[in-house]
Amino acid sequence: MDEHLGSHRARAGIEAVTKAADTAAGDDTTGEGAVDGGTSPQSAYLELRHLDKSFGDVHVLRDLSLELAEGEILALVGLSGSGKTTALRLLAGFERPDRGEILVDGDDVASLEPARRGFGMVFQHYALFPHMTVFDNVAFGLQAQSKTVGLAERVATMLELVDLQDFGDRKVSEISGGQQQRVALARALAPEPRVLLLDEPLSNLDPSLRERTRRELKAAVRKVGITTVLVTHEQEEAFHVGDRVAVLNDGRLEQIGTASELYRTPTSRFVASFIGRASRLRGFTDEASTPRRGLNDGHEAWVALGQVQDIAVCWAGVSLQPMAEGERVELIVKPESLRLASSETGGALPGRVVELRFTGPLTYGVIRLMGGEEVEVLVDDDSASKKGASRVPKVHEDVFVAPREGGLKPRVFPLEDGVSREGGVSGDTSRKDVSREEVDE
Amino acid sequence: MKPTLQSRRLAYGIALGLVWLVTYPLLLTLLEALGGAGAWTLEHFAEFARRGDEWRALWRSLWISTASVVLAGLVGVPLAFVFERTEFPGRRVLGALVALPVALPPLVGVIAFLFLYGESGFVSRLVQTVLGLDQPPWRLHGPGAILLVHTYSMYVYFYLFARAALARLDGSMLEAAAVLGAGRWRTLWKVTLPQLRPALLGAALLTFMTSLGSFSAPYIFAGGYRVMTTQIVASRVNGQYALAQVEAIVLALMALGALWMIRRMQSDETVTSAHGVAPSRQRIVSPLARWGFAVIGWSLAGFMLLPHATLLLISLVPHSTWTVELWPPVLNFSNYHELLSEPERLRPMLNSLWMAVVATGGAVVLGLLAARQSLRHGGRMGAALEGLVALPWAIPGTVFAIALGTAFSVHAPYIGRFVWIGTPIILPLAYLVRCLPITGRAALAGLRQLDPALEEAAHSLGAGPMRAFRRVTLPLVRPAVVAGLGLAFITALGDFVTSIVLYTYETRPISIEIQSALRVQEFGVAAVYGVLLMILSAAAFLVWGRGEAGR
Repeated sequence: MDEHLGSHRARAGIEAVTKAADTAAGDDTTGEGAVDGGTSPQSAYLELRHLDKSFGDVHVLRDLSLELAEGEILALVGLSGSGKTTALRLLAGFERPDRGEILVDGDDVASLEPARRGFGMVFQHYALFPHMTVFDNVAFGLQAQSKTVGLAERVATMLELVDLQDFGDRKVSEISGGQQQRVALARALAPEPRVLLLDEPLSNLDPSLRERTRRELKAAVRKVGITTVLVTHEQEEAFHVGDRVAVLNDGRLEQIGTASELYRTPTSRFVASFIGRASRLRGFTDEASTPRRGLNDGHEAWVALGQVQDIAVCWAGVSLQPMAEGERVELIVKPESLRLASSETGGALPGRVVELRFTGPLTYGVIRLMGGEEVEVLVDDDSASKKGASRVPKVHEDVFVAPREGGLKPRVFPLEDGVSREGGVSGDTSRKDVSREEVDE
Repeated sequence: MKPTLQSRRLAYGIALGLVWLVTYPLLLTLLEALGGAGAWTLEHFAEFARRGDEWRALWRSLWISTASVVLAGLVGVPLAFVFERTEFPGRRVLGALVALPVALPPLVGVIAFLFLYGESGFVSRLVQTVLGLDQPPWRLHGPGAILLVHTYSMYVYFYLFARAALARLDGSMLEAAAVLGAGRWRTLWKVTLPQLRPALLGAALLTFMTSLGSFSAPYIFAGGYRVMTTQIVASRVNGQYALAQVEAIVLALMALGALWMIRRMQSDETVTSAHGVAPSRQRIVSPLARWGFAVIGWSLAGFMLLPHATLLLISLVPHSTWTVELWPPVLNFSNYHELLSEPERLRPMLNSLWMAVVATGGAVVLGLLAARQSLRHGGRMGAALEGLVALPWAIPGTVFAIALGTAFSVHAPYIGRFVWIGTPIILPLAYLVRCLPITGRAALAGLRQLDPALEEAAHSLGAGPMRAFRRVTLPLVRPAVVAGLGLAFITALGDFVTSIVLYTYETRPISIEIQSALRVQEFGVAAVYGVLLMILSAAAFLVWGRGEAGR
């Protein structure tokens, strides 16, 4: 078990190392703040202050404030309709905020026309000018901003940056989707904008192409060292490209931090269930099995999920606010913080496998617990090894679900009123797979 | 992007200009038909209601338009099926030729028919000679003649609309019907035709409105057999201005009523956007059938081209050299020579050209401005601008001629009225109003297809509104705008219906000259004008076609 935990940590460690390497490979203009993690940057280069925006009766952004250090890449993620695209359009100047300021290096640009903002943007469908060649597309911004001295060299440099040096004479309809994406990036960067805005830049690409283009995109942006805001609905993309990730929900900023912070210590119910996969379980804070110091200090709570043959089954979870004893709560549990166990020892819950999902490296199992609620568990050979043989259980097999020791703690939130039954395990079977949500247009 | 105060002002300015040009003259016509301020009376309307010939004209307009829709549909839809669903030698060329009548200005089509099927036309001479008759076998006269010309020139609407809809049809839908056990006919009735309904209704609307406003055919073929349009012109020529105004109002209401009715039928449609691939063409395999199709197809094309060919031939016949012979004895270029050497004869050409250029240019600019503002503002302002631009399409040309004649025959600059009748201003203005729906729609279609992100991209790269419009928007909507321009130019160049009400001797256009040549039996001269009009229109049609293809 510990061994497994170890490997889990090791993987996270590799991620961090890769990230650092990426940064190091980039330009040295990248400020320290860029990799500073969740804490807000020391000196903000781009600042969004209390932005509010409504369209008619629909309140799309509510009091959004963000700060980016020079050279930092911030990824904005959220469900469709969360306001992330609107935030980007406010930054670009295509929409005007109802309230709030947008500061670049201390200057408020919120009232400037898009043409005078000096922001570069890569559009979701690229918006390349179809009647112009690749060269003319990249040169457009330079001409529009009268930066015509050394224009040809500048365009050539940009095309080289995106590895398209021989494509200047092509029509944009004659190049592939991936190449179009790179032209869009070169065009946006050519006039040396102060800030780069990326609106779902990879969503139009083939999945097979996406990962490579993502790496190239990140490398190019790093090389230029430009302050960048990326809007995406793909968590993986946000985690990979963004130095920090901001989660928007219903127009509000839910949480901002590094990928690992959002994953490990989500501060809201939304982020806890939005990042990665998660199951929800209901229970109540338990008097009997709660260590006295745990309950009210707002850090860790014991949650009783139900009784199995007169034994109360309790799980420890991290709670974000002090709770009273016996309070109804909801646990948000990631599949990778659970394991299958061979017996009820260690607070395991009995259940039955109803579905197995093989994804290649990992297998997920959906386990229906006694009360009828379903929970998703990361299954590995290791989980079953205690039974002797190393194997994955079959559908309909009876198993036990236990917390993975030393693994990610479940998060505990007070349950909203009037949703639960009396006593026992009140199961909620909702599983969420938000990563597959539609792109907002 | 959010419209600025400046662009809102611009939108209001354009809307005001359009109201002044489009709705104001109609309103003034209604007011004057009611006697005008200080002398309100229903007498003119009562007079209209009392007269039997008015009701007869109204009835004829209605039934001829309805019959035109039926006949044009009966010719156009089967043709669309043949050219879209089967593959035979020469299909592509013929498919394009079949759309030709749309490029012929109405008056030119009418005189070509006259030379071909009229009492002394080719075909009737041929029949007379072959059968050894003393009299011409028929007279091209009355409602039959009108319907013949209408069918010839308007089946194209059904043909083009139905073909486009057939090409868009999702082939897998037909396969689904077949898998479910439906036979050919069942599939046609239950699947294909319902899918074509919106296109057919659109073509029906276009045909009905065009027939209702048709003037050349009734005027040339059926002098005494009055329909509303010829009735209006007759009243005006007779000096019964108030009666002409009442008639114009009645015809306008009828047109708007028909528009409203057909639009209501269209709004019932469940619009499905098919994403599939069009069914593949059925290749005609049997050699006999292949040749059958080819022969039928080519003779059809020959029939379509016959009027054009006739016109060309007649233009080569010198004055009073052709009497009773089957084939004209003398053919030379004397008519052309005469036209080009006499400045007075050349004048209508130049008149038509400059007036069409000015009107089309104005209509393109105004249409583009209105379309842009309409899309930028959307909502009520957008709908109002779009409606104002489209309105002249629904109102017969004769009605607009009367309305403009009414509005611009009084000097009152403070309420936007000037004495422009009898000046060179009035005709280009009338052409402009008539062309506005064509150019406006084309601009709207072009701008709608444009990804708004393109202009945003230009802005984000530092281009101001003018630069973004000039470098990005304009080049991209140019094909659509050019298409509209070509079609508008044909309309203005060949206009007869408004010209006959508003022309002066100095500004007489080609169509008026053709009419006076016909009156003095100078068929060769009329044909020369017709040929020149045809060539200019064909050139504009080619431009239009290229614009269409470029979309």
